[in-house]
Amino acid sequence: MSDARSRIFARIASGRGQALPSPEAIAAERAGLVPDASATQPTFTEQDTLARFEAMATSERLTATVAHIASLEDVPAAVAAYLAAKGLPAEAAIAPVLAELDWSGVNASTAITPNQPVAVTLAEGGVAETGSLIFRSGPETPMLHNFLGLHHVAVVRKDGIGRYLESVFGPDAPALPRIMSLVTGTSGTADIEAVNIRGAHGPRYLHILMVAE
Amino acid sequence: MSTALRSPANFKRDAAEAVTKPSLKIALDRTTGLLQRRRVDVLKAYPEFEATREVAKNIKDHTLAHLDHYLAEFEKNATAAGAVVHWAETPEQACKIVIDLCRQADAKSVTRVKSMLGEEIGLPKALAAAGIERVETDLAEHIIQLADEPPSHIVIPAMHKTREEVADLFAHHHKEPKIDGEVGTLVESARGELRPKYVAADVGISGANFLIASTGTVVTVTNEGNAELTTELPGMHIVTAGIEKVVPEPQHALVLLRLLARSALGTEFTQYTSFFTGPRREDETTGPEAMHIVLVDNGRTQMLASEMRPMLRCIRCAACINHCPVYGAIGGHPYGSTYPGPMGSVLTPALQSLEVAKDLPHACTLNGRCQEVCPVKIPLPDLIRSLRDDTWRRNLVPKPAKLAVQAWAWVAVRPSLYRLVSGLANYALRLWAGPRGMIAKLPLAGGWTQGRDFPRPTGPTFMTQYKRRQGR
Repeated sequence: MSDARSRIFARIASGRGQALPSPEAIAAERAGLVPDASATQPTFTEQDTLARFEAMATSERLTATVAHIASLEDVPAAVAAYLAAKGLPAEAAIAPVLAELDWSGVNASTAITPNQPVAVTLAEGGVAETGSLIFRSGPETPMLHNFLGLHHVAVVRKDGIGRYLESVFGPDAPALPRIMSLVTGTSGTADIEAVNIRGAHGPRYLHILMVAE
Repeated sequence: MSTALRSPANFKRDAAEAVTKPSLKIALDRTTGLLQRRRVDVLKAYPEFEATREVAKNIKDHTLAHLDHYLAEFEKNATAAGAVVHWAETPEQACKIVIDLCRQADAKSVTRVKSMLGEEIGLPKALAAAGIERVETDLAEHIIQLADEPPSHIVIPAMHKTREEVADLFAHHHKEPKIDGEVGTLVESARGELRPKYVAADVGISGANFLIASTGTVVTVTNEGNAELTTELPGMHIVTAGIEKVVPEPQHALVLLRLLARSALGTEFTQYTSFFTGPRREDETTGPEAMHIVLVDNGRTQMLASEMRPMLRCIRCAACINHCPVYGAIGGHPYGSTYPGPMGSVLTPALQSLEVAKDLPHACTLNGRCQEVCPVKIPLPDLIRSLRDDTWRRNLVPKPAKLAVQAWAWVAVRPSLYRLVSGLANYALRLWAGPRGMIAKLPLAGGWTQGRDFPRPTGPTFMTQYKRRQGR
């Protein structure tokens, strides 16, 4: 425990001028800080959670494209179709979690390079409110795969898409990984004259494969 | 304007110089105008804004009232996740901790994500003094690093630069510059220049938008994706953060996140919102092996105990800056510190001293727009007025100004004398203005008329007219 720490804590305590309330009293006040989360959540015109997610993700600002597939087994074919439509070679870096799929139509590797043209990854879920994808780091889902590609193809199961940001931290959510990233559209910058430009450092193109099963 | 000469003490001189730069005015008008319009548009679709502001204010006030409790909780949980928490009272201590960590990692090159706290503590200079190469990865920070200038805005640090000026910089500094007059091509040029530097860095340094006590998590937001590339590739991740950044739980960060991007850039959400909890885990093969979090006081505990406490609610969105007419005329540099505009006029006296920053609270029209747009309801005009009061009581107001105010006060409490003097002054001003209607030069008011004309009074004083109309 450093001297700096104890002096900082002493100044906070003396500035308050009274004793710190009991942990129970603080917890009680803390529990009431957001009396009703829905009062802070934007209301949507779309009734349907998935429709809102898709509308947000493909909005003019987020610039993602979406394709619908029936099951995870369809991912390699959907990736091949995307690459063909973009006029790209049939090559991609894939997250290890997707390596079990039959990639016979695409030259797929779990290795990634700094100037990776295309990377394919699996999102844990999404958020309809913001059109965000949720990525968690882990041995099967390395985080860099979501950032190094110029084209990012992200796979997400429809049942993993929640309505509001609060769903990411719901009571059933697993403990936080080393990094959890909410990815909302493509990498962008407004740093020169506030003009919105895509592909600043991360992906310029985001293609989302929504899996029905 | 080089970094070395910056001081809020030079505010008057630098502001006078700034208002005469046409390219600065163009850059400021293009950018603040756009940000104001976007904010209005995004809030049209978010009628919950007012209710959310109130919740956000309560979250921050609760945390600040129990700051030691929440800092201890954050420290405990971050440590449990494998991070190392350091404490610094001063900028010097904070920089020393960071430099020592860089040396420990044998770092030759560090990448950095824009962090205003990093600027506040002078980290860029400290790294240079230690002989460590610093690569700014935020596009705007990259631009001003090339220009060797300080940031002029806390969200868009290169706001003062036009695209033409950026093109000149890239043409001069980039290995393979790409320039064709389009902003998109300039962004492409920077992407190509910076990509290899991410890979080569030994340490990645970021700030924190929020610290979550219940999980020991550091939250960053960027639109570029540079925070993740900066922190994920090197072996060590260092976070520098102010102690006021802590919030109790993830759900509280979510409420503040709903306000942050809307207020800052007029968008619903930032593109990349990341939650960092500890270093690389046992089952992982990528990610930093060490995570260090440097928590900095630098005057915040004094603010906590003073009238300036509401300022610690600030989430650094810059809405107040984007709506400030004074900032809109002079840009960020004359403020002479990391934080410009209304929030800077309150923070800089607290972080440095009122003596050195005494002109900042006076450079305010008290129009109140900053308070209207502040997502955490900081009463900025009240705080600025209170600082003005302090400059008066601590005798920091220049003698002539003090004498003038005292003379005015003496006259003002004598109504018939006041009416006589103001009537005469009104008559003299109208005579002096002549048929042109504007006054370009006025004795004793050179400070005013140097930058703008003084309007001719439109008629006799209110009291004269009131009398003439017999009280109707």
